[in-house]
Amino acid sequence: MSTHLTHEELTDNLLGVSSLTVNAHLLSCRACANELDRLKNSIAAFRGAAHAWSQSALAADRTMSVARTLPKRSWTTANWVLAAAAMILFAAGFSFYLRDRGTGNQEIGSQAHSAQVAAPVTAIEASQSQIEKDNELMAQVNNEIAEAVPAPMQPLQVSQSVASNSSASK
Amino acid sequence: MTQTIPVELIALAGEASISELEDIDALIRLYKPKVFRLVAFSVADRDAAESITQDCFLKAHLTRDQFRGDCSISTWLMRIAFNLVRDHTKSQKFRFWKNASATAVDAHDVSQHLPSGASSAEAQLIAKERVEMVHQTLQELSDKQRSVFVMRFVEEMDLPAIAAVTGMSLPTVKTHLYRAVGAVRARLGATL
Repeated sequence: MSTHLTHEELTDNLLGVSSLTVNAHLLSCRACANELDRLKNSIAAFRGAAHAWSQSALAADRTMSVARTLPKRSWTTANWVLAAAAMILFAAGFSFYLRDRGTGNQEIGSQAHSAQVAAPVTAIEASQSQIEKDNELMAQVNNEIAEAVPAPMQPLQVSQSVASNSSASK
Repeated sequence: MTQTIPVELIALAGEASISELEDIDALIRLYKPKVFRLVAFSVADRDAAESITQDCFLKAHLTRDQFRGDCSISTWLMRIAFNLVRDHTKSQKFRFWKNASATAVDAHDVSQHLPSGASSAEAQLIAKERVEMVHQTLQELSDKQRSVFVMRFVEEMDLPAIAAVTGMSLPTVKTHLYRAVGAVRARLGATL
Protein backbone atom coordinates (compact mmCIF):
# COMPACT_ATOMS: atom_id res chain seq x y z
CA MET A 1 0.00 0.00 0.00
CA SER A 2 1.54 3.24 -1.10
CA THR A 3 -0.36 5.72 1.07
CA HIS A 4 -0.12 5.96 4.82
CA LEU A 5 -2.94 5.62 7.29
CA THR A 6 -5.20 8.60 7.86
CA HIS A 7 -5.38 10.29 11.25
CA GLU A 8 -8.77 8.67 11.90
CA GLU A 9 -7.42 5.23 11.06
CA LEU A 10 -4.46 5.70 13.37
CA THR A 11 -6.71 6.98 16.16
CA ASP A 12 -9.14 4.10 15.64
CA ASN A 13 -6.23 1.72 16.16
CA LEU A 14 -5.31 3.64 19.32
CA LEU A 15 -8.91 3.29 20.48
CA GLY A 16 -8.88 -0.43 19.71
CA VAL A 17 -11.51 -0.26 16.98
CA SER A 18 -9.36 -0.53 13.87
CA SER A 19 -10.19 -2.71 10.90
CA LEU A 20 -8.23 -5.70 9.60
CA THR A 21 -7.04 -3.62 6.65
CA VAL A 22 -5.48 -1.07 8.99
CA ASN A 23 -3.81 -3.81 11.02
CA ALA A 24 -2.45 -5.32 7.85
CA HIS A 25 -1.09 -1.95 6.75
CA LEU A 26 0.66 -1.47 10.07
CA LEU A 27 2.46 -4.76 9.60
CA SER A 28 3.83 -3.64 6.27
CA CYS A 29 4.39 0.10 6.80
CA ARG A 30 7.26 0.99 9.11
CA ALA A 31 6.45 4.73 9.17
CA CYS A 32 2.86 4.25 10.26
CA ALA A 33 3.88 1.63 12.86
CA ASN A 34 6.53 4.01 14.27
CA GLU A 35 4.09 6.90 14.39
CA LEU A 36 1.54 4.75 16.20
CA ASP A 37 4.17 3.40 18.62
CA ARG A 38 5.38 6.89 19.43
CA LEU A 39 1.82 8.01 20.09
CA LYS A 40 1.00 4.94 22.15
CA ASN A 41 4.18 5.25 24.20
CA SER A 42 3.63 8.95 24.87
CA ILE A 43 0.05 8.41 26.02
CA ALA A 44 1.05 5.39 28.09
CA ALA A 45 3.79 7.43 29.74
CA PHE A 46 1.30 10.17 30.48
CA ARG A 47 -1.11 7.63 31.95
CA GLY A 48 1.60 6.18 34.18
CA ALA A 49 2.69 9.61 35.36
CA ALA A 50 -0.91 10.71 35.93
CA HIS A 51 -1.67 7.65 38.08
CA ALA A 52 1.51 8.05 40.11
CA TRP A 53 0.90 11.79 40.52
CA SER A 54 -2.69 11.29 41.70
CA GLN A 55 -1.60 8.65 44.23
CA SER A 56 1.00 11.05 45.53
CA ALA A 57 -1.44 13.97 45.63
CA LEU A 58 -4.08 11.95 47.47
CA ALA A 59 -1.55 10.52 49.90
CA ALA A 60 -0.49 14.07 50.74
CA ASP A 61 -4.07 15.01 51.41
CA ARG A 62 -4.85 12.58 54.19
CA THR A 63 -7.23 15.05 55.73
CA MET A 64 -9.66 14.44 52.89
CA SER A 65 -11.56 11.79 54.77
CA VAL A 66 -15.06 10.52 55.07
CA ALA A 67 -15.57 12.89 57.96
CA ARG A 68 -14.96 15.79 55.61
CA THR A 69 -17.05 14.24 52.87
CA LEU A 70 -20.16 13.30 54.80
CA PRO A 71 -22.52 15.88 56.28
CA LYS A 72 -21.12 17.06 59.61
CA ARG A 73 -22.88 15.79 62.69
CA SER A 74 -20.76 17.77 65.13
CA TRP A 75 -19.67 21.36 64.80
CA THR A 76 -16.18 21.99 63.56
CA THR A 77 -14.01 25.00 64.37
CA ALA A 78 -15.10 26.66 61.14
CA ASN A 79 -18.73 26.31 62.16
CA TRP A 80 -18.03 27.81 65.56
CA VAL A 81 -16.18 30.71 63.95
CA LEU A 82 -19.10 31.27 61.59
CA ALA A 83 -21.56 31.12 64.45
CA ALA A 84 -19.48 33.59 66.47
CA ALA A 85 -19.27 35.92 63.48
CA ALA A 86 -23.02 35.69 63.02
CA MET A 87 -23.58 36.47 66.70
CA ILE A 88 -21.25 39.47 66.52
CA LEU A 89 -23.02 40.74 63.44
CA PHE A 90 -26.38 40.24 65.10
CA ALA A 91 -25.23 41.99 68.27
CA ALA A 92 -23.76 44.88 66.27
CA GLY A 93 -26.93 45.19 64.22
CA PHE A 94 -29.09 45.05 67.33
CA SER A 95 -27.00 47.67 69.12
CA PHE A 96 -27.26 49.93 66.06
CA TYR A 97 -30.98 49.36 66.07
CA LEU A 98 -31.21 50.17 69.73
CA ARG A 99 -29.06 53.25 69.28
CA ASP A 100 -31.20 54.46 66.40
CA ARG A 101 -34.30 53.72 68.40
CA GLY A 102 -32.80 55.55 71.41
CA THR A 103 -32.04 58.59 69.25
CA GLY A 104 -35.61 58.52 68.02
CA ASN A 105 -36.89 58.31 71.55
CA GLN A 106 -34.59 61.13 72.56
CA GLU A 107 -35.96 63.25 69.77
CA ILE A 108 -39.50 62.42 70.79
CA GLY A 109 -38.54 62.96 74.42
CA SER A 110 -36.95 66.29 73.71
CA GLN A 111 -40.04 67.36 71.82
CA ALA A 112 -42.20 66.29 74.73
CA HIS A 113 -39.84 67.98 77.16
CA SER A 114 -39.97 71.21 75.18
CA ALA A 115 -43.72 70.94 75.20
CA GLN A 116 -43.61 70.41 78.94
CA VAL A 117 -41.29 73.39 79.33
CA ALA A 118 -43.43 75.50 77.03
CA ALA A 119 -46.50 74.97 79.20
CA PRO A 120 -45.00 76.52 82.37
CA VAL A 121 -43.59 79.37 80.30
CA THR A 122 -47.03 80.27 79.03
CA ALA A 123 -48.34 79.81 82.56
CA ILE A 124 -45.68 82.12 83.91
CA GLU A 125 -46.41 84.61 81.19
CA ALA A 126 -50.09 84.40 82.01
CA SER A 127 -49.44 84.85 85.71
CA GLN A 128 -47.13 87.78 85.05
CA SER A 129 -49.81 89.55 83.02
CA GLN A 130 -52.24 88.79 85.79
CA ILE A 131 -49.81 90.22 88.32
CA GLU A 132 -49.40 93.31 86.20
CA LYS A 133 -53.15 93.70 86.00
CA ASP A 134 -53.34 93.15 89.71
CA ASN A 135 -50.62 95.68 90.27
CA GLU A 136 -52.44 98.21 88.12
CA LEU A 137 -55.58 97.55 90.04
CA MET A 138 -53.73 97.92 93.31
CA ALA A 139 -52.12 101.11 92.10
CA GLN A 140 -55.51 102.44 91.12
CA VAL A 141 -56.88 101.49 94.50
CA ASN A 142 -53.96 103.15 96.22
CA ASN A 143 -54.49 106.32 94.23
CA GLU A 144 -58.09 106.39 95.11
CA ILE A 145 -57.29 105.86 98.77
CA ALA A 146 -54.61 108.52 98.67
CA GLU A 147 -57.05 111.13 97.44
CA ALA A 148 -58.37 113.44 100.16
CA VAL A 149 -61.97 113.15 99.22
CA PRO A 150 -63.29 109.77 98.35
CA ALA A 151 -64.76 109.54 94.95
CA PRO A 152 -68.29 109.02 96.14
CA MET A 153 -68.04 112.22 98.13
CA GLN A 154 -66.72 114.34 95.32
CA PRO A 155 -70.12 115.37 93.82
CA LEU A 156 -71.24 116.43 97.25
CA GLN A 157 -68.14 118.51 97.72
CA VAL A 158 -68.67 120.08 94.31
CA SER A 159 -72.26 120.88 95.12
CA GLN A 160 -71.13 122.42 98.46
CA SER A 161 -68.54 124.59 96.72
CA VAL A 162 -71.12 125.65 94.20
CA ALA A 163 -73.47 126.61 97.09
CA SER A 164 -70.77 128.57 98.86
CA ASN A 165 -69.92 130.40 95.67
CA SER A 166 -73.52 131.30 95.12
CA SER A 167 -73.96 132.60 98.71
CA ALA A 168 -70.89 134.71 98.33
CA SER A 169 -72.17 136.23 95.17
CA LYS A 170 -75.37 137.09 96.98
CA MET B 1 -25.51 -22.30 22.44
CA THR B 2 -26.58 -19.00 23.87
CA GLN B 3 -27.07 -18.53 27.57
CA THR B 4 -29.51 -16.05 28.98
CA ILE B 5 -28.86 -14.43 32.34
CA PRO B 6 -31.81 -14.95 34.67
CA VAL B 7 -33.68 -11.78 35.52
CA GLU B 8 -33.31 -12.61 39.21
CA LEU B 9 -29.52 -12.53 38.88
CA ILE B 10 -29.60 -9.16 37.14
CA ALA B 11 -31.84 -7.85 39.91
CA LEU B 12 -29.49 -9.25 42.55
CA ALA B 13 -26.49 -7.64 40.82
CA GLY B 14 -28.35 -4.34 40.85
CA GLU B 15 -29.17 -4.72 44.53
CA ALA B 16 -25.56 -5.56 45.32
CA SER B 17 -24.43 -2.39 43.54
CA ILE B 18 -27.00 -0.30 45.35
CA SER B 19 -26.04 -1.77 48.71
CA GLU B 20 -22.42 -1.00 47.85
CA LEU B 21 -23.38 2.67 47.84
CA GLU B 22 -24.25 2.52 51.52
CA ASP B 23 -20.62 1.91 52.45
CA ILE B 24 -19.24 5.35 51.76
CA ASP B 25 -15.80 4.42 53.10
CA ALA B 26 -15.42 1.59 50.62
CA LEU B 27 -16.82 3.74 47.85
CA ILE B 28 -14.26 6.46 48.44
CA ARG B 29 -11.42 3.98 48.83
CA LEU B 30 -12.30 2.31 45.54
CA TYR B 31 -13.17 5.20 43.29
CA LYS B 32 -11.53 8.33 44.70
CA PRO B 33 -8.31 8.08 42.65
CA LYS B 34 -10.28 7.63 39.45
CA VAL B 35 -12.66 10.51 40.14
CA PHE B 36 -9.82 12.72 41.35
CA ARG B 37 -7.77 12.15 38.19
CA LEU B 38 -10.68 12.98 35.88
CA VAL B 39 -11.43 16.16 37.82
CA ALA B 40 -7.80 17.21 38.34
CA PHE B 41 -6.87 16.95 34.67
CA SER B 42 -10.16 18.52 33.61
CA VAL B 43 -9.96 21.62 35.82
CA ALA B 44 -6.13 21.64 36.00
CA ASP B 45 -6.16 22.69 39.62
CA ARG B 46 -5.37 20.42 42.53
CA ASP B 47 -7.30 22.29 45.24
CA ALA B 48 -10.37 22.67 43.06
CA ALA B 49 -10.08 19.00 42.13
CA GLU B 50 -10.02 17.94 45.77
CA SER B 51 -13.04 20.09 46.49
CA ILE B 52 -15.00 18.78 43.50
CA THR B 53 -14.05 15.19 44.33
CA GLN B 54 -15.46 15.67 47.82
CA ASP B 55 -18.60 17.21 46.36
CA CYS B 56 -18.91 14.25 44.03
CA PHE B 57 -18.90 11.68 46.83
CA LEU B 58 -21.15 13.83 48.98
CA LYS B 59 -23.65 14.14 46.14
CA ALA B 60 -23.41 10.41 45.43
CA HIS B 61 -24.07 9.65 49.09
CA LEU B 62 -27.00 12.03 49.32
CA THR B 63 -28.60 10.84 46.08
CA ARG B 64 -27.81 7.12 46.43
CA ASP B 65 -31.52 6.36 46.48
CA GLN B 66 -31.76 7.64 42.92
CA PHE B 67 -29.19 5.12 41.63
CA ARG B 68 -31.22 2.64 39.60
CA GLY B 69 -28.41 0.22 38.87
CA ASP B 70 -28.71 0.65 35.09
CA CYS B 71 -24.97 1.40 34.87
CA SER B 72 -21.94 0.59 36.98
CA ILE B 73 -21.19 2.61 40.11
CA SER B 74 -17.99 3.76 38.47
CA THR B 75 -19.90 5.17 35.49
CA TRP B 76 -22.45 6.77 37.80
CA LEU B 77 -19.74 8.45 39.88
CA MET B 78 -17.88 9.61 36.78
CA ARG B 79 -21.11 11.11 35.46
CA ILE B 80 -21.60 13.05 38.70
CA ALA B 81 -17.97 14.19 38.57
CA PHE B 82 -18.26 15.18 34.89
CA ASN B 83 -21.36 17.26 35.61
CA LEU B 84 -19.68 18.92 38.59
CA VAL B 85 -16.66 19.74 36.43
CA ARG B 86 -18.94 21.20 33.77
CA ASP B 87 -20.73 23.36 36.36
CA HIS B 88 -17.41 24.38 37.85
CA THR B 89 -15.86 25.42 34.54
CA LYS B 90 -18.92 27.55 33.78
CA SER B 91 -18.86 29.32 37.10
CA GLN B 92 -17.05 32.47 38.14
CA LYS B 93 -15.24 30.34 40.66
CA PHE B 94 -13.39 28.54 37.90
CA ARG B 95 -12.16 31.82 36.44
CA PHE B 96 -10.82 32.71 39.86
CA TRP B 97 -9.06 29.39 40.19
CA LYS B 98 -7.66 29.68 36.70
CA ASN B 99 -6.33 33.16 37.41
CA ALA B 100 -4.95 32.31 40.82
CA SER B 101 -3.25 29.14 39.67
CA ALA B 102 -0.97 28.69 42.66
CA THR B 103 -2.20 25.12 42.98
CA ALA B 104 -2.39 24.43 39.25
CA VAL B 105 -1.58 20.93 38.12
CA ASP B 106 1.90 21.44 36.74
CA ALA B 107 3.11 19.49 33.72
CA HIS B 108 6.62 19.26 35.12
CA ASP B 109 5.30 18.03 38.47
CA VAL B 110 3.27 15.32 36.75
CA SER B 111 6.20 14.24 34.58
CA GLN B 112 8.39 13.84 37.69
CA HIS B 113 6.06 11.04 38.79
CA LEU B 114 6.76 9.00 35.70
CA PRO B 115 7.58 5.45 36.82
CA SER B 116 11.26 4.82 36.11
CA GLY B 117 10.85 1.23 34.89
CA ALA B 118 13.95 -0.38 33.45
CA SER B 119 14.60 2.14 30.72
CA SER B 120 17.79 4.16 30.32
CA ALA B 121 18.24 7.69 31.63
CA GLU B 122 17.98 9.05 28.11
CA ALA B 123 14.73 7.16 27.47
CA GLN B 124 13.40 8.47 30.79
CA LEU B 125 14.24 12.02 29.78
CA ILE B 126 12.47 11.62 26.44
CA ALA B 127 9.46 10.04 28.14
CA LYS B 128 9.25 12.92 30.66
CA GLU B 129 9.42 15.40 27.83
CA ARG B 130 6.57 13.64 26.06
CA VAL B 131 4.50 13.51 29.25
CA GLU B 132 4.90 17.26 29.55
CA MET B 133 3.92 17.71 25.92
CA VAL B 134 0.77 15.61 26.32
CA HIS B 135 -0.14 17.51 29.49
CA GLN B 136 0.41 20.88 27.82
CA THR B 137 -1.75 19.79 24.91
CA LEU B 138 -4.52 18.81 27.32
CA GLN B 139 -4.63 22.39 28.59
CA GLU B 140 -5.20 23.64 25.06
CA LEU B 141 -8.14 21.32 24.36
CA SER B 142 -11.77 22.22 24.88
CA ASP B 143 -13.34 21.12 28.17
CA LYS B 144 -15.18 18.22 26.56
CA GLN B 145 -12.20 17.04 24.53
CA ARG B 146 -10.03 17.13 27.64
CA SER B 147 -12.48 15.16 29.79
CA VAL B 148 -13.08 12.60 27.04
CA PHE B 149 -9.33 12.20 26.48
CA VAL B 150 -8.73 11.62 30.19
CA MET B 151 -11.56 9.10 30.42
CA ARG B 152 -10.30 7.14 27.41
CA PHE B 153 -6.53 7.30 27.74
CA VAL B 154 -5.96 7.82 31.47
CA GLU B 155 -8.87 5.86 32.91
CA GLU B 156 -9.05 3.47 29.94
CA MET B 157 -12.83 3.59 29.82
CA ASP B 158 -14.48 2.13 26.73
CA LEU B 159 -16.37 4.36 24.31
CA PRO B 160 -19.93 3.36 25.37
CA ALA B 161 -19.06 4.10 29.01
CA ILE B 162 -17.70 7.53 28.03
CA ALA B 163 -20.88 8.16 26.05
CA ALA B 164 -22.95 7.18 29.11
CA VAL B 165 -20.96 9.50 31.37
CA THR B 166 -21.00 12.51 29.08
CA GLY B 167 -24.44 12.01 27.58
CA MET B 168 -22.91 12.28 24.09
CA SER B 169 -23.47 9.92 21.20
CA LEU B 170 -20.71 7.49 20.26
CA PRO B 171 -19.79 9.36 17.05
CA THR B 172 -19.52 12.62 19.04
CA VAL B 173 -17.23 10.95 21.56
CA LYS B 174 -15.08 9.65 18.71
CA THR B 175 -14.98 13.06 17.07
CA HIS B 176 -13.74 14.62 20.32
CA LEU B 177 -11.10 11.90 20.57
CA TYR B 178 -9.94 12.38 16.97
CA ARG B 179 -9.43 16.08 17.62
CA ALA B 180 -7.71 15.53 20.96
CA VAL B 181 -5.35 12.90 19.54
CA GLY B 182 -4.73 15.15 16.54
CA ALA B 183 -3.64 17.94 18.87
CA VAL B 184 -1.35 15.56 20.75
CA ARG B 185 0.18 14.34 17.49
CA ALA B 186 0.76 17.88 16.33
CA ARG B 187 2.50 18.74 19.60
CA LEU B 188 4.66 15.64 19.49
CA GLY B 189 5.60 16.47 15.91
CA ALA B 190 3.69 14.20 13.62
CA THR B 191 5.93 12.47 11.10
CA LEU B 192 3.19 11.44 8.70
